[in-house]
Amino acid sequence: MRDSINNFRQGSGKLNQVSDSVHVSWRDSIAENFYRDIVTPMKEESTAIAMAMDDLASTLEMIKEKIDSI
Amino acid sequence: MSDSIVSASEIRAFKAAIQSYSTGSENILRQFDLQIRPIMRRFEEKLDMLEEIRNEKYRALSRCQDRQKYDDDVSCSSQEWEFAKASDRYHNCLKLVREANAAIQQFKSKSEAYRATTTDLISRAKSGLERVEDMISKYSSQTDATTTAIPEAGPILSSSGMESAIHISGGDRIASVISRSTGKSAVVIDPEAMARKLDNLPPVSDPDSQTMRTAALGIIALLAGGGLAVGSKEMILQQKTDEIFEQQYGISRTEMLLASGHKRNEYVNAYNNIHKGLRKEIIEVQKEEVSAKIQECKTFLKNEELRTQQKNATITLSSIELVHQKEVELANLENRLATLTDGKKRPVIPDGNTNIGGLSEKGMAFMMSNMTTKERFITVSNIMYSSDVRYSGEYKNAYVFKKGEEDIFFVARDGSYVDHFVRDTSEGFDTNILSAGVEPNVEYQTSPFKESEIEKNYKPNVSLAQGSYKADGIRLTRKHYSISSDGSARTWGNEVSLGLEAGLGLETKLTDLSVEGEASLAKAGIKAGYVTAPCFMNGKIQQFESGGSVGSNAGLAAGIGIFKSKDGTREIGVKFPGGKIAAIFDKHQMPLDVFPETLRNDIKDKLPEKLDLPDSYARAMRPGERPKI
Repeated sequence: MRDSINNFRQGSGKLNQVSDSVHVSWRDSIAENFYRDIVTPMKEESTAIAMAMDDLASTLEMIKEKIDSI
Repeated sequence: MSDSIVSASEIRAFKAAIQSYSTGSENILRQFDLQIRPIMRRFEEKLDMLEEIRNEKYRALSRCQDRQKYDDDVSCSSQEWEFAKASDRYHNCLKLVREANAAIQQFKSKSEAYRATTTDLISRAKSGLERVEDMISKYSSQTDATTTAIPEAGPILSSSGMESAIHISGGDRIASVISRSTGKSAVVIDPEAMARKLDNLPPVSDPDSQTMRTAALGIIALLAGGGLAVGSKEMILQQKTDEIFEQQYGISRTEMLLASGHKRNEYVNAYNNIHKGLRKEIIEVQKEEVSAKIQECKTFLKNEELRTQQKNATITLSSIELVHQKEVELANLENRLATLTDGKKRPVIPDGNTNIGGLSEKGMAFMMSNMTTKERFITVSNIMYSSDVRYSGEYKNAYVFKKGEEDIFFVARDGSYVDHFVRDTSEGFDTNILSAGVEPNVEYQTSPFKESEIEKNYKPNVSLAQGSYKADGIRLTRKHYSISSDGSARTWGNEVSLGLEAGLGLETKLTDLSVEGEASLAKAGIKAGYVTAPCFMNGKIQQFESGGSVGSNAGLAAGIGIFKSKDGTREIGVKFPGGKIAAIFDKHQMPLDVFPETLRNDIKDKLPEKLDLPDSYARAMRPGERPKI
């Protein structure tokens, strides 16, 4: 589970990397709307989503522990 | 090209990243689903267990009640106890189950929220990219007219739009296209748009001097950092010019060059002026730096001159050498300044250490006249060997020095010569005698070494070498030692070199004379004897080849020895390997005036005036050349 999350983090990081590398090009271009509406929020949300995944994984572990303790 | 370009490769990269993101999040959701199932199963098992505990509680309760029904006096403590335990267990279990259930519900709602968010995001990203591609395709078709100037680009734009690899600018001014079929790239410009841009730029004016000075200093610092390839200076100069130009006018060099219109030339000239001005500024800065260093040198030399004129001024070898170095440095700096001014290259003046021992002429002269033998030897040895030569003590009439663990030098007290020995640890030679650094049983001779005298004074605990060599008890390797047939001449390897390099004067034992050599000597009335190498005589330093051993079996071009007269009291000739003699008269090798007057007169009639020497033999060293050890 943690491996999947880590893999996702890496993929998410790559998304950020691509976004950062293109943004100078795209900002002034005809793709500027795309960058503003999609790329930027994606960058911001990917971080939040990664944290949410961690949270979910922790919740799962907590559930396991609680059930085992019954 | 302009920065504002969207490339096909960037679009591909982004698509791949989004896909990767999407796949990653789907994987995680699937993982969560897979993991929650066994947890739920386990939870249900626990619920079953809870049910069982509850039933047990009621059974216990029922037993307790039955007991009481039939016998009021009977204590129900054990049943009560059982009931209480069962009841506790039930309640605890219930509590945990409730907590677990709450956690499960929380998880479910979070994962749903996450799923919704990512799905939405990915969907928007994919559709957004499609819109970008559509727009690019439309733009491409609109610029068809401007591509006609680039016929070699081929079929750049297909009807499906995105089948070409494209770069598109955002400013509608410049585009570069790549033909998918030919792979060639070309620049498409809208010259009218560029011309309009230039028209709107401020009028041409030169950058201020501070900007130029800062840029010049930056370039000099980069060049001083080193590690740059040849030609980098021009590249850096252009980069800085580009930077200044763009800061000054708000347009890049490329855009300027691609523009048209009446103002273009104006800006091209402005660019070139910056380039020239920067180059000039670099030279000015360099000239200032060199001038400052020249002043420093002159001040130092002036101060030193004043200092040494004071009464009781301390003058050392170091101070003399430092002055010499500064003089050379000053000369080179002045040349550099002249080169910066007129552009003509000038050779670098070497530091002038042309003499044996790595000292300047002045330094060497100072050393010879002001230092004791011991000081001289240590100084020169340190210069030449630059490592662990240390004074080891005094023994009889000699100072003893050691270099490392193998080399031992004996320097006669009067400084008249040096002997050098190397411990030989091979082939059974007993070198214990050398371990203390001095040889207690040897009387060190200042007169010609006679083997018989050595044997009289010392019983060496060494074996005699094989062949024609003998050990003198203080010995070197066989290779370095040879003895003439009458036992009166012997040689040590490296000795000549050392003596020459030490500049102390060396007594070289005549070596390995061939029959021919001996015959030549005999003809000249010279008996093979002990010779002295004139490395330093009468205040003059002589430079000459000091190759390997004199007369060594390797036959290396070697040092030079001077023959002594029959009675052994005067030097009268010079010997070269192979037995040829009288180089003393060969002015190319050794000027006659090196030798004392009496010597010259003595040999003049006896030895040929000219010596026919092959070029490989002892030639004078070139300035700056160091003798080989």
